[in-house]
Amino acid sequence: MDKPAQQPGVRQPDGVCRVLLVEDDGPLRERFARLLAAWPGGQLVAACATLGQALQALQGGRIDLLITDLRLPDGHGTQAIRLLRSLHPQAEAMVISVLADDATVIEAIEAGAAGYLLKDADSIELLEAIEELRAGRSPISSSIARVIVRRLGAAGADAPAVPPAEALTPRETEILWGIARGLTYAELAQQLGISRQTVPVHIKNVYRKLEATNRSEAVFNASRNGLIRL
Amino acid sequence: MRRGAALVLACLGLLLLAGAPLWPRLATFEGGQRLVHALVAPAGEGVAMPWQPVQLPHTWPPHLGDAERRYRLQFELSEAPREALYLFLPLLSQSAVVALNGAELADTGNRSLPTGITSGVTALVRLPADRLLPGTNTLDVRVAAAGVVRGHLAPPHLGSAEALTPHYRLQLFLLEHLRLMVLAGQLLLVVALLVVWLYRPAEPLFGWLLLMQALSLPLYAGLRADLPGVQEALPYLLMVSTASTFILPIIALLVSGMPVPRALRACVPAVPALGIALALLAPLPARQVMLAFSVPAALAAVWAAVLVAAMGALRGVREAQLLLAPLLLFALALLHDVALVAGWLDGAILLGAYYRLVLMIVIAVLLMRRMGLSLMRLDGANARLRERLAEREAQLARLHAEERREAAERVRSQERQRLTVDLHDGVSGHLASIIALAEREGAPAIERSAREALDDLRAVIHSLDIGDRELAVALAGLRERSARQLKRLGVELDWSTARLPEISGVTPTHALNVLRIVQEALTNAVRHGPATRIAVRGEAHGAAQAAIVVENDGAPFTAGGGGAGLENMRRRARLLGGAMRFEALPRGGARAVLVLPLQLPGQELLPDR
Repeated sequence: MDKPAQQPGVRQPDGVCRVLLVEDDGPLRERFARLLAAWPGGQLVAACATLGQALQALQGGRIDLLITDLRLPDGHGTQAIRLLRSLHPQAEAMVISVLADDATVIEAIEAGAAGYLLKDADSIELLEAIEELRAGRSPISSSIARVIVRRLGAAGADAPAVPPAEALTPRETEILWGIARGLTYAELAQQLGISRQTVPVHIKNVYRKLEATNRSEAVFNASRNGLIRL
Repeated sequence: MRRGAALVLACLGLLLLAGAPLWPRLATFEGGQRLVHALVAPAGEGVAMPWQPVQLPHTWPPHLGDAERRYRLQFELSEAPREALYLFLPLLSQSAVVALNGAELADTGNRSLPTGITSGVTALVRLPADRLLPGTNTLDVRVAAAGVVRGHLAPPHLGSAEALTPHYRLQLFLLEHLRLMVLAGQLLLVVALLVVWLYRPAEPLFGWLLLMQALSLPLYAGLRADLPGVQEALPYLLMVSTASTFILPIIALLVSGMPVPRALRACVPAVPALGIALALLAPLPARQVMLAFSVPAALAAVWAAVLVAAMGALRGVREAQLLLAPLLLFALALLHDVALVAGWLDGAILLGAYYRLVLMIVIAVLLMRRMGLSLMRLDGANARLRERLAEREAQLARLHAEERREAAERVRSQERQRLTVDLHDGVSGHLASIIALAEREGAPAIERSAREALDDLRAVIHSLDIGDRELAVALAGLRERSARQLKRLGVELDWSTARLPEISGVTPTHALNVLRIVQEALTNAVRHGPATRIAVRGEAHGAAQAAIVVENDGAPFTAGGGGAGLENMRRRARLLGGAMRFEALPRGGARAVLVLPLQLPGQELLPDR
């Protein structure tokens, strides 16, 4: 249960991580492009400003990592993420969001993103996020944790009907609850008796379940998504 | 305790009431004389009357049909009195004509109630002064007995009006008024039972009680035995009313919760009908049929009822226990009356009527008890219903509050979505652009300001989504944002809110106030510190408060230093119903403590806009 499902997705035989950047805001696109260009472990394939360009670039060749904004002038970033996941199942996607909030990020995760990046992230944060993702670990914020617990349902009486394969394990539920309540990874790890490094791995698995749940189009009863009282 | 006392009092009261006819035996007379010696002779005119000396009280053997006895009593007066004397006859059966020195003075037969089958009358006769002689005076008392009861004369008393009147009045009450009261009570009970039975025909007990009381009414026909035809009809009427005695065991069975055999029910009409048939068809006098057949049958029925009530009482049935004692008294009284009529006992008072009163009282008690119990059950049911109603109402109120909360939540969530989308597309995007541009142009001050603005925006948006008891969530968001800032600045952050008690009454406004206070404390630590290590801890503060402590190893807060900042923090803390404390740490550094109540003030369901 605690064994992380290692995703070798971003680690390619040639060791180079091919990155596609999609961001419609000029200064931001340039900034991320600059930061990525300075990263020795990767290669920036293209920095697109529109969805159209991005879809073209995706069709054009192998992409290992997609970093995309969601709201694009000609569409939505989730379309690019879905295409990437269908074309290159081993590839990973990261969404650029100004707020680490549920609505945008969850949408991206359900489309197949495994992480998110804040728009004001500096170079260290950007590279850390990419490294974490390559190691099979995903970031999470307390508000995102809260929404996922609601969605996939804690093992409670009014848990929504989700396919058993996509249901959260008790351990995953505990972790999400802890994060939603504002525990640090260190506190969580101590409380649950696991290594601090495995918490983000669990998160990555949870994200995959979200994506699968979304794909299997399980209908969530909105009325059952009652508020969590922490 | 109280019930026991009431029970004892009730028993005493019943015994007193039942023994009423016997009270006067205990009375003592003051003044006057008691005449106990008399001569008795059978009725009839004639000089050669065989006078027999007797001791009073005297009862003579029963003769069916009318019979008379004449008594002669003598008393001495030392001198002729100036005032009239009174002769008090406490008890005689059933009527008497009194003569003094050969002159008739009174005839009770014209004055008191007709006796019917009840017996025993009393009389007070005025002996005028002009009729009294010095020396020996002679009283002649002619006593007539009628019906089934034997003739009887108790010792008369001679004395002044003052001495005798109270005794006379008491006897009058017991022998006449009380009997009428029994009738009145019985009539009242019949009406009450009729009403109960009309409303509760399904309850057999009420029907039987009504029938019993109604059927025993003919017993009182004797009160008007002077009307034409009544005297002849009396035996038949009495036989009809024996039907009521067969209802007694039925009532005892019903009260004890036992099945009523059909044969017993059949007895109610059958036995009296048989008696009447015998009296009408066979060449037997009705009286004899009554005494030989109806009365023993009735006695047997009453004693059967006693046995049934005793069984029920032994089983612990409360009503049977209530019924047992009066029923037993009534049965004993009937035995006494039969013995009296049969001549096995001396006396002139039939006790049946008095004990019937006791039985009626118990029936009334049973009725009232049942009414009281059903009222109590009704109250209980009402209370249960009220309880359930209150529960339902509370549930509804809860659901309503839940609904309002969820509606507020939806409104907040929609608002937040709208804001988020707006900010995503607008301000925050621009701020992110500014950060990117400032970085490119190398303007760290602008970059820092833009980052702070963006973080503050995040705090505002994030707090919109905070519901009640979710302060920890709000703080978690703040930690995530602060950690990034401080990491960039190279400040170590040690953050733990795991031990923060749950705080209720949290609104987005409250959450934002808390966040701003903590944010300000962090900013101060970084700006004025300059700190290298900041610790944020949520913990309990005494039993009824929570505290959020921000410590840093920089310079202590000074009143002048961050004046406006500290004042702002204090103001926000007051809005939260809490307080701010700033302390210098002994090993250098500063501590800001925000103390919060566990229930924040002014809880509103809807975020004020």
